Amino acid sequence: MDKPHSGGEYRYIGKRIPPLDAYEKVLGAAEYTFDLEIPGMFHVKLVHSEYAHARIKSIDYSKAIRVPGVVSVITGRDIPYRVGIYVGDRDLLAIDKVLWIGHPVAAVVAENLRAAEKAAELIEVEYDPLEPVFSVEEALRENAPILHENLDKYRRLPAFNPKPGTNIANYFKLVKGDIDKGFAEADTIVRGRFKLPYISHAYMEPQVVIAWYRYSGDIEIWSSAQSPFAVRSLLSLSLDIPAGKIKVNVPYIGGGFGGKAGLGWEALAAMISRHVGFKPVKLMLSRAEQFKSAPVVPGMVAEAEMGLSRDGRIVAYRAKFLFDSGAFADYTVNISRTAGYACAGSYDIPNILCESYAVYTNKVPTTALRGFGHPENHFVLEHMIDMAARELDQDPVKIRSRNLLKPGVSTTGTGVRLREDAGNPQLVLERISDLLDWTTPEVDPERPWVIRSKGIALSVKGPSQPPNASSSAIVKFNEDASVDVMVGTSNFGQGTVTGLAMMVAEAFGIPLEKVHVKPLRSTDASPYTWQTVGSRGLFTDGLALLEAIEDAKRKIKKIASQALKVDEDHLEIADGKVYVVGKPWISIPLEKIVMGYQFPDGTSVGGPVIGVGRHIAGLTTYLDPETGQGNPTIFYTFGGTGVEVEINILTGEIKVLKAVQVYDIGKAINPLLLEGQAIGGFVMGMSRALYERIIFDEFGSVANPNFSFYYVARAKDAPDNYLIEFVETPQMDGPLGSRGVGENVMISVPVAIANAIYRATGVSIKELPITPERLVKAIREQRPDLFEQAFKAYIDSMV
Amino acid sequence: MSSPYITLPEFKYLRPKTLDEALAILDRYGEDAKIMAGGVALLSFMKERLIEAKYVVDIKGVRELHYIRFSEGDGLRIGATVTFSEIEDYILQRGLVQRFRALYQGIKKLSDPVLRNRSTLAGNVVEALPIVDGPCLLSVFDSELKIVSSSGSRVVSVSEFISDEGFIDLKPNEIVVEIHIKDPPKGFVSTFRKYNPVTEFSMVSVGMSAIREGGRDLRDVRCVLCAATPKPVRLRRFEDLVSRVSDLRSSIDELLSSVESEAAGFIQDDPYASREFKLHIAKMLILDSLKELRSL
Repeated sequence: MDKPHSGGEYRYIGKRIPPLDAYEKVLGAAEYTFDLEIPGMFHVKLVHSEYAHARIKSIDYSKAIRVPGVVSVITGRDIPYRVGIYVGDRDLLAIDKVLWIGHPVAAVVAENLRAAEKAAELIEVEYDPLEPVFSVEEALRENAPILHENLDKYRRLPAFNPKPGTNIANYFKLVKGDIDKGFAEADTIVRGRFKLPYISHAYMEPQVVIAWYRYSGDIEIWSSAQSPFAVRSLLSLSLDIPAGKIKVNVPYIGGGFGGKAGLGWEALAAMISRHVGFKPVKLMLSRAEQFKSAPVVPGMVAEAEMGLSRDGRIVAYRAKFLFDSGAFADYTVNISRTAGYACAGSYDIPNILCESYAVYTNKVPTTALRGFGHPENHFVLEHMIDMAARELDQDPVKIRSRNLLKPGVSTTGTGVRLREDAGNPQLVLERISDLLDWTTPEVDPERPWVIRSKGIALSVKGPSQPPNASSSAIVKFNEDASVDVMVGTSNFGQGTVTGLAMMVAEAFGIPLEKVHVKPLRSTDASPYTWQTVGSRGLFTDGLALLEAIEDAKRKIKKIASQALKVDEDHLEIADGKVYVVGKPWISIPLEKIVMGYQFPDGTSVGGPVIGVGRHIAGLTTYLDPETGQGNPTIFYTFGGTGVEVEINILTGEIKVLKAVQVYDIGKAINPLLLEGQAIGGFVMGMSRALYERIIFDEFGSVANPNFSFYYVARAKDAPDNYLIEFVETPQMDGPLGSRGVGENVMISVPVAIANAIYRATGVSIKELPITPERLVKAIREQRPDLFEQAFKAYIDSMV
Repeated sequence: MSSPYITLPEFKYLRPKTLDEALAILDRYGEDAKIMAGGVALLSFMKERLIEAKYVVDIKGVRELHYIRFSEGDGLRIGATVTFSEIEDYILQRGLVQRFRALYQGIKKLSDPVLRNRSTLAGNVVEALPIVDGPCLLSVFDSELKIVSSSGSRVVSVSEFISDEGFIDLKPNEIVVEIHIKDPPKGFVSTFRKYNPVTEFSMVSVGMSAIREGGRDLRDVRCVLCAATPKPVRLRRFEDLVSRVSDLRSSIDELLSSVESEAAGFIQDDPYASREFKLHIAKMLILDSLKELRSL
């Protein structure tokens, strides 16, 4: 985009502009799917399995159906479909087997929700229990009970590699160089075993869908979903209904974080709507159901070893990731794939072997979360580097600097030479250590049982998407020369649409108030985008939009050239006008052009102006099934986190005092919203580091399906001090040089905190969350001297 | 909480204007009627279908139950519908923070301001679960509850009122109308500590009070262990021991082992922390409290 004619500076781009929807949201006026009602609509309540693994013998709903207001009860046999985005392993309701406690086995439909909830209690299900498996290790044993006997029959995308006859939903391998040779050359080797728990997305609006299957065979859906087009295409594929017969509407979304990507409950609701006589039905989950019956975030165990030369060069890296996908691995197969191909992070490592599995267990199914695969593989990699630094007695910053990928020079783990404008990882690292003031840990002189310490971790992230993922955009002028911006990318808090609107206002030199981006996304009215995931929105849909802007400009100039009797290439657009280059006093306001130009004698030319643009991923490829080599992504964003924490050795309490976030985003379109993302990402990562875990009891049931016992960071827990900085190394094929960053801002936070603790105490914590109990236990095991010393200091302070 | 339900069950909402009217409703409907003050606990439990109520009797409209009074020698008297925020403001504005320090500290640490604007001390005491702080805070002081029914009134101490986790001495026709926190004696100091970095609720809480008469030594120490225990538990042997201590440093081991032997029987593992860790934290909070009371 050219800088505008007047003043030579950007008017909007780079400015701190609040999100366009802020007022509606703050005032509580924004309408979410949860708020929507259709007259005559029925309500659906799910009945959940009480067994982790069992055959369904019978379902008796004779009592339920007699509850006043109840219309129907539906079971899995009525609608025996399988759905999913990457592997179609999900049923709509348990067909003959239940796979986890919470698995929906029946749906009650009633005229009102209270009747449906009352009737759901009265449904009696008889089960034949089967042996369950609750951990990946158990599930991989030779004679383990198999969850999906028909794994080979499920629809799947070619990038995925399930092992029928086992519980392995996907296996991925990344091979670079010669791993054995690499380890043979290493002077020192560090090893670790890591463990991450199941967590919740904890978005504010639980999943909710309204579906209306009409007599005509047309289906209309309203859903709290991130990606209406993915919902449409997956409904079409799995229910065998032409895509054009399906309309998916997405109003305001109360948070997503990846958990509302792919397909949610839309297929179930649509089939229920048909089953009850083509009436609209609404299915909304309670928070407890959201924890127990809807997809959450997979747990992981990993083993890794890293070989280094004496001078701190990483010469070999081996890692094995086992993702606990729960009962369905639909999206989680891609988490395992991503963790595998991106296992080497920001580093140039010559010899790599990373294996990654998604494994079925009899627990709640899982799906994507912000940055998936990366928080997991970075937790392993970035802590291993700190372990190596300690082993080699080197500085964690310097050892990172020595091994960083060099744009234009190095090849990534997947064997791609990194583009020369991919960013400046060295500068990112330097800025983090400067802003953090990279000093050694200090004991609080007033309270010698409290240590303050700093830790850092880097991260790199690109979108994990199919190689042909595409986007489109439309700019449509209105009579007053205001613009309707139509994009497929959804808005659930990221700020992308505000950035896109700013680009349009800038391009035409019109006030931002004259650029309209409606909250509703609809497969009928919005142009296509593959999904709103992977930090891709501003990049892919932004490029499509820039092309649409150029298209509209061309059309405007064509009309104006006739009106002004000059060639099109002598015209420019700025300040809401078309003007003659070099003679800006000869101009026509856009209002007179965008619906067609009328000459004084009444004759007219042109017509309403609509610009159209598109983007496709281009040179990204499938990855080689044997080696994982190939080009998986359209950009890499480098960045990282620094933290200062205060650790109480005696009580295990950890307080984060300071957060440093630096990312090379190419170009900051809107620094205010970028900072918002970075702070949000930091707090989310901190919450994951210190608090969040879904706890399963011995029967496989979620013990803490609520925010009282599943603790998420509150305002009081967040640090007071944020230092956020953006490096701007433009990516030449990015929109205005920018790259996506929405996910990266949380990836390195948990491991930076673990590294700070390690640096202060030498105690390595390889399991999240770092609860006080876990920390005190680790200190007493690994550094009993430190604990004794702290306790003695405490007693001294008392007397 | 963890309700699979989105709706509340059906009930009739009643809003009496006088205490007599409220009591008459209880007489008429018995167990089918439940008193609601802030409603924070009642409505949550109803949503989970753990409490059934055909009639919800909202006493927030009963003006005679909405008061806080303080007088020298008598102490604080708090009506049943007074919220935590109102108590917090009153203590601050009347300059009573030092006198009722543990109560004030406890309220400041209680959940968040939105909930404190709604939740009542009386409701908290009637809930009587380890997750609420009210009973613990009252146990640091000499506190009594005034309970009335249409046939009369009675006064009961907090420790007698709560017999076990969630079990209280209240008949279906009775209402807790007032909480009386007696004016502490001269030299009285108190503190409240809450350890909750793992869930929204406290894992272990400790309330402690003592008499200080110059010097740092404490006498008449009262130590209440809460949250990890089914109900507030006084550690009486520890109290005796610590009230007699002259050299704290040489007594630490003895004090801690008395805490351990007295508290251990009450503390259980749960999914959020082990029994051992809770005991460790209990000891740390007790040491912290001692340290603070000695330095006030």
